[in-house]
Amino acid sequence: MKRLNILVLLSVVLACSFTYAGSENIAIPTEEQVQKLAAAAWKEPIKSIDITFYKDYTKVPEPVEQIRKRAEEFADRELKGRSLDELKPYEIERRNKIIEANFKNWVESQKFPRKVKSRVRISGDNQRIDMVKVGPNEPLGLDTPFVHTFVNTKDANTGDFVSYHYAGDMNTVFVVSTKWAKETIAQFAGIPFATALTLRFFLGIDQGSTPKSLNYIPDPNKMAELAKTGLASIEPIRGAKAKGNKIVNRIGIRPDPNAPDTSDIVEMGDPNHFPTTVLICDRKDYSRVYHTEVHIPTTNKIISIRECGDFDSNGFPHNITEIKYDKDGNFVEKSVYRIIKVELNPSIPAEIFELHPPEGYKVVDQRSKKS
Amino acid sequence: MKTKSLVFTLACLLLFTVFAVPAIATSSGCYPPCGPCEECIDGHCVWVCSAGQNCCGGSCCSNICCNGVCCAAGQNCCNGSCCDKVWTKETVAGIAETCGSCNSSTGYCAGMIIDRQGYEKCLNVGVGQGGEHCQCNETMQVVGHIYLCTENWDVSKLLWCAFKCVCCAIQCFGPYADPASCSECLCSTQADCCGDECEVCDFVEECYPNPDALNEIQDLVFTGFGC
Repeated sequence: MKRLNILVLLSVVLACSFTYAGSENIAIPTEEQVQKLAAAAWKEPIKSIDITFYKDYTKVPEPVEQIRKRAEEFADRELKGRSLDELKPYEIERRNKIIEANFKNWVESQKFPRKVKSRVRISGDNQRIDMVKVGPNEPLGLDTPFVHTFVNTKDANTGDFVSYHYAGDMNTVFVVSTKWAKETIAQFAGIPFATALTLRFFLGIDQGSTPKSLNYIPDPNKMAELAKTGLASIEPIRGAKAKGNKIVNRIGIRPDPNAPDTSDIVEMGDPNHFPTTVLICDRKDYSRVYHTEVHIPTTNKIISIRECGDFDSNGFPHNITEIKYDKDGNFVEKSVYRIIKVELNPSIPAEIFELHPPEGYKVVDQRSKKS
Repeated sequence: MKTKSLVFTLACLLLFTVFAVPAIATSSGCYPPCGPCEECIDGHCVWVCSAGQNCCGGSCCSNICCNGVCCAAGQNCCNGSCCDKVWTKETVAGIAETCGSCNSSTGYCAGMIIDRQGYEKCLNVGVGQGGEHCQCNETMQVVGHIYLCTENWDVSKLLWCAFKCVCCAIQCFGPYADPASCSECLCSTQADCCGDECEVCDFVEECYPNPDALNEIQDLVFTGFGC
């Protein structure tokens, strides 16, 4: 996870304060609203998913000088310690061509939006992503074949986790020593994960959690406190000698003025910098979140926005936009998802996670070369 | 018609007698007959090529002689043909560099991971010594992929630990500083934050990256020359 995401997460933490000076005119949630909020926070996670989607993403481009430097560094890996003076003329020519080719490709990959078509299948700890990426002016459709496949699974012989990459552009399968990043598209079926966790901390009671296993269940007392005061708190912090010893989170719920009959606005955060997290939810089901924005408490700058629309009957949105900003409010990246097909909790055959290289593929096992 | 044909035949015989017979008589002055690039002078076969030349296909050749053909200057001989270069192949070993751009042995740091399969690269070795290739179709090709090696932050653990020891988190992230490393957030450098309860802050350390570093999928590929 990138540091930016850490900041987003911690902004949720910092949305809470040690002290609380007083109350203002915030809509205190009703008991029913608190129940709906808790239901959304403790919503049953998706156990398996089979989803195909398009994703268009735009990022702040990497400076070309930096790309060139990177291309030169890669070419120089081939020199194995030799200086440029020691190269034969044809080697210098080759080095220059490699630098230019990589530089051109990498600059090209900075032309946004990049378009991706992915099919993601997740079942338990197994994950398979089939993917093809193209540039902004290249066609991408249902018939466009996937080029890459990334798999995390268990080795049938050793039981150890193993990851593969089927690289269609090289007719090669790389077996690598570390896992591919988890695909998190399933999170759009509920309120943002960090927000859900925060709510569990504030509205739940710890049933013997450890860093390896969190186990919070809804706490009726905390929920009643929220419905009464508009505030939720967690236990005193062990060992902390800061401004106070209690973390307080304010939660307000009011009708969405743009859809007063169908949507509610849930505002959360540090009472002294309220709100830091804003959700616009379906009034009947708070896990159906149309809009999310997270602010940095101290500056009130928005650090992330998420928009979800076209929910299907299972509560999965088919149009999603995510935008992230840095701590100064500058644009960082934007992703737009269009779901082609999604199946929640399907039975996914184990074979699709097994290593079955297509005919003619070379298998390169890199695990023994882990540095 | 018969008369004309007879006259032509006689004329041919006369010409052969006058010109060809004396020439045969002179050449036969060297016995055995002279070899290629030799001339029979005064009954002796004399090498006619200059120093540094070799005899190639019956002619003096200043360059490489290849299967009886005198190659052009700078050309080599390979597989019986004159060619511009003689190549051999070198197998470039595959690589897998985890977190290649940082010097951490933990694999937790952010950086590039590179996967490349082995491939054959052409080497220009000059004159062939056997086993070489005249034609080496060197082409640019994709030889590897680059992935971003990043920390495997566990969101739930991170949040829980941050809540449990929120003072440390605030000290590190409150002003939204960009700490150079996780250690800056740990109790060892933030003792003042947590007073005597360092074990609480040490607890945060457990929340930092899991043993498995994740590779974020990138679409960057890198190229090289292959035969």
